[in-house]
Amino acid sequence: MTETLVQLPAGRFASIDFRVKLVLLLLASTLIFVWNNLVAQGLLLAFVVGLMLAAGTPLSTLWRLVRITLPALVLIVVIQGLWSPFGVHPVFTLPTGLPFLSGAHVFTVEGLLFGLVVSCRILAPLLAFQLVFMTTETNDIVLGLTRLRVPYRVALLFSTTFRFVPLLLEEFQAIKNAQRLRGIDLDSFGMARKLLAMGRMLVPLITGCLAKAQSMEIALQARGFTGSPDRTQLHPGREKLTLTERLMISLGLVFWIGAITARITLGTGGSVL
Amino acid sequence: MLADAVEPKDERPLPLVTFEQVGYAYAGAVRKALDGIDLTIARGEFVGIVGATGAGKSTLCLTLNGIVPQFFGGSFFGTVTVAGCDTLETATSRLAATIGMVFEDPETQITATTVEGEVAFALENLRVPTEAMQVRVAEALRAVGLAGLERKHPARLSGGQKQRLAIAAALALSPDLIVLDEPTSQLDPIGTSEVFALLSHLNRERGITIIVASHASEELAAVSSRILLLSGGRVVRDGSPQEVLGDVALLQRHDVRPPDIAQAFAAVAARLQPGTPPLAPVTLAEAPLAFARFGLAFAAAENRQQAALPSGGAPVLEAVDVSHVYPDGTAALRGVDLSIRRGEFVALGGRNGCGKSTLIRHFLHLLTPSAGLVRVDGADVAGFRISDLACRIGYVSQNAHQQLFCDSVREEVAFALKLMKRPKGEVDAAVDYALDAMRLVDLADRHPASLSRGDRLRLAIAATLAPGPDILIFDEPTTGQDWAGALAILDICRSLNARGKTVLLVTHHLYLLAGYAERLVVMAQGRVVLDGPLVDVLYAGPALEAASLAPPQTVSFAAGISSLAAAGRRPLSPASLAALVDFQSGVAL
Repeated sequence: MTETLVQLPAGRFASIDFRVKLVLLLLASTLIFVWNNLVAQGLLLAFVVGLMLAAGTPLSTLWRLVRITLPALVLIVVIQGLWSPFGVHPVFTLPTGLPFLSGAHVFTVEGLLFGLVVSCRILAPLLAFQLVFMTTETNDIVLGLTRLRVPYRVALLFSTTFRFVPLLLEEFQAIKNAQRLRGIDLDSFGMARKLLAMGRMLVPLITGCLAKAQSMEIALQARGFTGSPDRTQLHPGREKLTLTERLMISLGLVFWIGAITARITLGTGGSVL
Repeated sequence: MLADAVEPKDERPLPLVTFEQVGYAYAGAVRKALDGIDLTIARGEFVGIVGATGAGKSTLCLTLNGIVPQFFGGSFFGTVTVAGCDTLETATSRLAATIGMVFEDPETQITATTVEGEVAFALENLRVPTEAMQVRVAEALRAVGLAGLERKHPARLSGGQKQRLAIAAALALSPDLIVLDEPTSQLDPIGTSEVFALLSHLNRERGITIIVASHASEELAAVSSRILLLSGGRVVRDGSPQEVLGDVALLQRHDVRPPDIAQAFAAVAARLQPGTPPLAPVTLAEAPLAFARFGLAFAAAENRQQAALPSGGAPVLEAVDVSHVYPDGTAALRGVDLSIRRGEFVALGGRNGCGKSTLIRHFLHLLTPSAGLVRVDGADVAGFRISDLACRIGYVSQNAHQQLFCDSVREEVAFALKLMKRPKGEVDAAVDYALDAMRLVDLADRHPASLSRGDRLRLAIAATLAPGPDILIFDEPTTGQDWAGALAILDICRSLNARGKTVLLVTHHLYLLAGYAERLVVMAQGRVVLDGPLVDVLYAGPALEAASLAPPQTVSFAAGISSLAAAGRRPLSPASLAALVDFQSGVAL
């Protein structure tokens, strides 16, 4: 997991201003709710995946991200396929004469398609966020956010949290292993015993995190950190956006407004197919 | 106001650091962490601070940049001045420009996502202009040997590199003083020597004042110009390395491990010259001259020990041609063959990344081999259920004392057994056995959080013992421990071994092993490169060096003297060296 959070090498996508990337995040996290249309959703997902590949994301990383969500996605498609209220046309029907299930419809075309739409809704923003955070220095995220008037302390909190995630995951894994090695096999337990064992794990996890957070705060203070936005930068970045970046932002925003307007006035993208 | 204070009034340079009657107690604490400290440190000194856990070393370090008391609160008495600034009145963020700090844990002190970003962080906070900053970052990375890695993610550096990065971050500030609190306790011997070599270079070549608190006596003796011995918050001795680290009896009284060669000298001197022992040599280089006063005392030494391992016992842990390749392509194990027999006490050593942990994780079935076979008690480990395996192998990690889950000691020991739904009688018997073995019976009703670190570790071991494993694996349990703590753990290992348990101890502190482990296995680059009786492996010379491990100083010293290095003599510890002294030949002074 730590590896998925580690950054990609600097490249063309990485050098784009964080504000442009924020527009990408806006598109990927809102248009998915504007459209019900599978083709539109598919294109948006393909656009994000295309950007990831162009940015040099290894296929293995991409697959790992998809694999994490895969069980949930399959479950969604199956549930929608079986019980979606939009379902009209059955995929197949059980033969008559079977006890209880005689003549029941199994999966509907509309349900399965809607399941795919929902899957796109999950994957597109997930991959877009991964892309943006993998290709942006924490420093640039902090700078980008402060330029959007987010207070420096909040922006730094955000980036430090991001840095902290792998540490937390390692700590969690270590505690889980410690329980396992004492013979506590969570997978074989019923719900009640599982909850008891998991609840007990929180104690060392929280105390461990508090201790780590304190060490980190001391390290920050010892390096002159005060939370003041009044500081210099190793790579100040461009305060001003290039013409291309302005164009990209404008294009993105125009497309965003256009898509929403078209959906409201003309109903574009409202139907699944 | 501060500028005035910095101006020297006469030609004599002001001391860089002064402590005047400094006392400090943490908020809510009864005992003082620092107690009446008077101290001056001049520019250009290299000061090592030694002391047992709780002696006040970390607190003293944190006092230097005002974190104590500005961050921690508590009661503070006296005055600390660094480069003319009173640390009580000057904000920590301003003191950061004068004092670079390096802490113990590389994981929590690195905040940036690139190497250069980490070095620049403090400079950015201190508003150093971009152009100047770029020069200073590049220069600091060059000085610590990390140039070329600017864009790398710190998570991908080795432990030694991470600490060198932290030093670069401190160095880029062009500080008057760099303070390091246990900078090498998490590192292997190679990482440790990298860090001390760098500090020595910065001190000699650039005149930067260095203050380092550490348990690494041998390294401190080699590079420091002055040593402070702290105990109970007080400076007990302040002098040259030989005056402090060479006074073996004094250090032992304060639970500080003297350099191995100093212990060897003191042990020999105690046999040959009863009375007040002379100051011992503190580095290997000084040893031949110092030992010369004992003349030929070793020459007629008798044969004492024979290197032979007990032959009995069926194999309980076996790796047969085991290889493991991680998903990223790293080959961590390359055909490891290892067999550990019932009742053995085996130490497993090797530098970080040599494959020790990967191998252990195979025995615990946390990893499956890419090729080869792993057997526990003669059966393929893959066939065991998790609870079955816990009944055969107990595993004690470095952080075991932080992995306690319950509200009382007794509950903690019974926790896993109860979840396994064992009968009550069986649980009670197992808990009683484990509490007794770890001498925790009197503490059975206490809350784990209220115990000392050492007791918590014993509790974690008791919880591991409860399911009744016959094999115990200790994974670097002595890391970060002071001398008394490390010896206490080894005593536990030995007593469990005496109760019939098979013990596998992972460590790179080879100087601790004499008198405990019988066999030493050394790994390097995913292979077992040395495996045999402890004495044979420690005297393997170049082969041990090739695995980036250094033998204890006593061994290095004896290996250079033919009469001592002969088969059958070969002392492993200061005590065994002293035992080789021949009274008959007398003392040639």
